[in-house]
Amino acid sequence: MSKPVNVYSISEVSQTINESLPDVMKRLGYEETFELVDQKLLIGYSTAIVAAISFIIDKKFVHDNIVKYQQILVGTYFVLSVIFWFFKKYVEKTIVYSGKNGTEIIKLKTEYEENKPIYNMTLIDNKKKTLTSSLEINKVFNSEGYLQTDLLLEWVKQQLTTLSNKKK
Amino acid sequence: MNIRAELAKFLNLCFVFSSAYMFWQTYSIVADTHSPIVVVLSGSMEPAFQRGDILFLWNRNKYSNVGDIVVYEVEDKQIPIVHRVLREHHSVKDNGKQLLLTKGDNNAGNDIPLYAGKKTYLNKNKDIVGTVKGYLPQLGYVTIWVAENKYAKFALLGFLAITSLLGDE
Repeated sequence: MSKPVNVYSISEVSQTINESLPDVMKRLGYEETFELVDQKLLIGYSTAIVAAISFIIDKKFVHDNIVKYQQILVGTYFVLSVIFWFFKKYVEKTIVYSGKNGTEIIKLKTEYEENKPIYNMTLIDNKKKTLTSSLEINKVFNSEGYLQTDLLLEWVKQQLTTLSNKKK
Repeated sequence: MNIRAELAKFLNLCFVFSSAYMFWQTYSIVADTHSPIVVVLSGSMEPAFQRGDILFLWNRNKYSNVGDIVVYEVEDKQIPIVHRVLREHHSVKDNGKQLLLTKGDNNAGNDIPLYAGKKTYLNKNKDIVGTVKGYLPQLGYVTIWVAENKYAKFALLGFLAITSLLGDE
């Protein structure tokens, strides 16, 4: 059972909906894919490993003997950090879910504005059709702050239907 | 448990430490010193520097000038010393070798008794860690507190652990 959230906090509300999307999409027949997450983790952990190597050799060897190696490691760390930033900003963007149902691939981007009880979702399919919809959060949360996943599922299902019926 | 979500959370923690460390390492390379940031541990440079001041060093200068505040290390002693250059001699022939005599502003005498191996001067290239180019007052006091109080170290680690656990919630 999900935990109640503070419905006056749009960031908390948005995070709760985002976390429930994989289950909702699974019930709608979609299988989640993790290419973007895996790529991000790969770049991120490569960056952290470079820093760890730099730290270890700094502790094991005399500074003057390893300056060249440290320069290479610092340069590599900087390049990987830029790639990671670029990946998050321009590749992953605000995509919180990607999944497929047979040959159909769907990506969900979500966002919100501070102090507005509106959850915005953009659906993108593999035919490059997009649909942006807004959800008033009181439609899927009850007064105690519990997410009504069945209502959310119905809303997402409606958006998917609208997207599939949409002409490019 | 979603392993990817946990890995992403742990990655954020890795970034906190790695970015701080790599900033320090980058500064180390740019300033050409193995220890570019030091904390003042004694009152020997008062009133210029107090215990707990954080000092930023630079070691790309060929010579130190009389009046510069330098950080040096004595062989077989781990703790760097922050004192002012009192006298200097440099040779234009001997590959620019420079010898320095230092003294703490708040000390009565010079540092010769502190130098290792009965040396009477410091070698700029071998002994000097860097010249002080900037400082932040008092902010390093937490490191002194942790180093001098064994319970403080555990308190700090406990605080960090609790903060990270609550943060995950």
